[in-house]
Amino acid sequence: MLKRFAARVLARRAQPLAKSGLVQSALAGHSALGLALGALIYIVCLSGAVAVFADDLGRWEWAATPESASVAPEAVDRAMAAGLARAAETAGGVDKVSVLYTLLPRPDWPHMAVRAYTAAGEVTWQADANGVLADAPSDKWTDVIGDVHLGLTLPGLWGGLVVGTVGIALMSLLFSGILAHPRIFRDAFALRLTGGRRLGLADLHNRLSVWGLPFHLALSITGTLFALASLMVVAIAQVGYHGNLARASAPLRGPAVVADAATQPLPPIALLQAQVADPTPGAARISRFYYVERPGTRGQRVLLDMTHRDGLTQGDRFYFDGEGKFLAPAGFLDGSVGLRIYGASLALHCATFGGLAVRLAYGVLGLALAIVSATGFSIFLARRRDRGRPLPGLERAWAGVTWGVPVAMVLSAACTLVPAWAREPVYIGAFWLPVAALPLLSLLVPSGAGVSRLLRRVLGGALLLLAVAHLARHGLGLPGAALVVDLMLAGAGAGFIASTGIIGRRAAAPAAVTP
Amino acid sequence: MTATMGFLGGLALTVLGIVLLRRVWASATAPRWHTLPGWGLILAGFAGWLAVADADKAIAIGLLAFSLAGVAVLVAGRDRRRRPHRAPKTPSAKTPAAKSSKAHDPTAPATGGRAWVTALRGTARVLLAGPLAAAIGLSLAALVAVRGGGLEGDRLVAGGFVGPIAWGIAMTWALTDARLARVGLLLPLTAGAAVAAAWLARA
Repeated sequence: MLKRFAARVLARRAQPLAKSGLVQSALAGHSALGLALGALIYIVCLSGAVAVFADDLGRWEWAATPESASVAPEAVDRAMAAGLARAAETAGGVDKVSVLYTLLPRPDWPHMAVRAYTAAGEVTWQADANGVLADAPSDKWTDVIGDVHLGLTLPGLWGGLVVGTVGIALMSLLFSGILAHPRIFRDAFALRLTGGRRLGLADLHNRLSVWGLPFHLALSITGTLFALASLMVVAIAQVGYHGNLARASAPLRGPAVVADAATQPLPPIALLQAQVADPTPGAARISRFYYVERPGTRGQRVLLDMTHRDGLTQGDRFYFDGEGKFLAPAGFLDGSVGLRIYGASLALHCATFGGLAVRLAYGVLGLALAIVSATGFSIFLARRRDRGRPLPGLERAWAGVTWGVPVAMVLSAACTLVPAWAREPVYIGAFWLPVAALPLLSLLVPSGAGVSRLLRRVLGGALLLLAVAHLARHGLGLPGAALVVDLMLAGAGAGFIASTGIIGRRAAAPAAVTP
Repeated sequence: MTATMGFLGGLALTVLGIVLLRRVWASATAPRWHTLPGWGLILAGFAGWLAVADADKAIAIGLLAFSLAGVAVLVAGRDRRRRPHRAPKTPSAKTPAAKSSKAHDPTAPATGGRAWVTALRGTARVLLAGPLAAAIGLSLAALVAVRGGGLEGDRLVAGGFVGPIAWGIAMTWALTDARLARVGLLLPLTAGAAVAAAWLARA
């Protein structure tokens, strides 16, 4: 009896110690992982928060092109035929064009563009409402920001692998963050920004993490699913299907069409749309894209997106053979449970449901995740400083990363205003060069706080200049969406400049007197 | 009309629920069950979101609203005191607190002859949290995709979800468990068992 009692007391005493050990090691793991991959996580999160506004920024970028929310089916057919002819001429034959992809107009993005993929890369042409292609190809800056988010603009499968690994690390940070902070939910409302710098950073980091947790978990899980899909299919094929990749991924690839190089015109979009049954007659049905593999051949396989309903999954993708005969739907809307979940995950990650309100919510919570990534590293630096072992070089470099990435995005976006520079390699260079150079140049500034202040001013000025230059180039007659984007850019720019004079000084004062 | 009422009702219930949670969590003495009304209101808010959209979209919107309302209540109720808060006490280097706090400073220098042990443990931890955690994720994804029940497409998607989640959990475990030997033994064993099971059932 006494023995049992003593054992119970000892077990009770040991419990807090064990818990404290778990907290300590969770915190150590959390810190190590955050320090190792913090910069990449920050870039992926921030580019994702911007990429969610791809439609809106796309309208801003193509402000000179007249908008048209819908076009006649014949205009789509004309644009696709012209795009295929141009791509075939450049590539040396229709059989050299692997994919033809048309982005169709819709209320959120009232433009049409035809994109062709050949061995030399991809080319995109804008098309007007009559289906006439622009003379020169257009590279979209918003696509480049999307590529940064999807694969850090790395070639081939490497981008997905790196971003997928970053996503796994982010998910692991979310798990270890909860383990490392036993009071994280109970302290969910404590935000003390006017106190010491470390306390303010820690509060911001922990509060934004906890309130954004459902969003951050959903986005990291769905994001890693898509980023690592290729790697997982390879593993599944090796283990379960004798290395046959096509066999392993067959359920997600849709019905196969046998390749046949004999020429065949592209099927008219009206013919495709007419074959898709409409479960809700009278409701608006929109096709967001028209995708053709091996275009212009008898073995072409056509994929047409069509919206059906106002749910999380807005619609489905429908497969057709070379002659335009309906084969099967992808099943995202009414297929098996797995396919429906896959379709819903796409919508959930890309915020394609709910319009601008949902995109704004994603923007705020995505930005919160970027702030969480940035402040995590800053907390480590502040803790080192508090302990009398500061890392001044790293403090300056990290401030260079934190503010350098948005500055690089603005510089890259500014290239859209100069026709000669509006090319993908220029956008990529204008983004990555400052991202690499600014942390190094930051070492020349005396302190991390100085770098932060300076780069916030640069960012604010650059945003203001970008908005003014865009307005000057397109005039006040530009589309309403583009004008709103300009106003938002100018407002954000003014906010950043103001923060260096008002908020910065206010925040610095208490920190200076903190023991 | 129904959608507008549903939106306003959902938003109001969510905000009210969060405000109730704030009141309970602000009290040092309130028992945990006092949070139940707050959580109840937040859950009831989902009924409002269901009037706005279909169930799948309503859940997504409800969760977004929960996060945004939480951030809004947090910012609105932030501490506005002008005097500086006390910074966390910085432990002096010789105190036990300082020794334990080194645990979450990955750049803290190791002492004396233990440096090589620390380096070895660090390398082992990186290998466990990196390649071995990836192996766990991929092998479990393969196991579910090949051997799981149901349609082939469902298994593939389930494997696609299980893989990254298992990878993330394995990475967290490898980084947080103080007993490296346990992680080093169980991670490869689990990965091996999963691959073997999937291999035996291959098409």
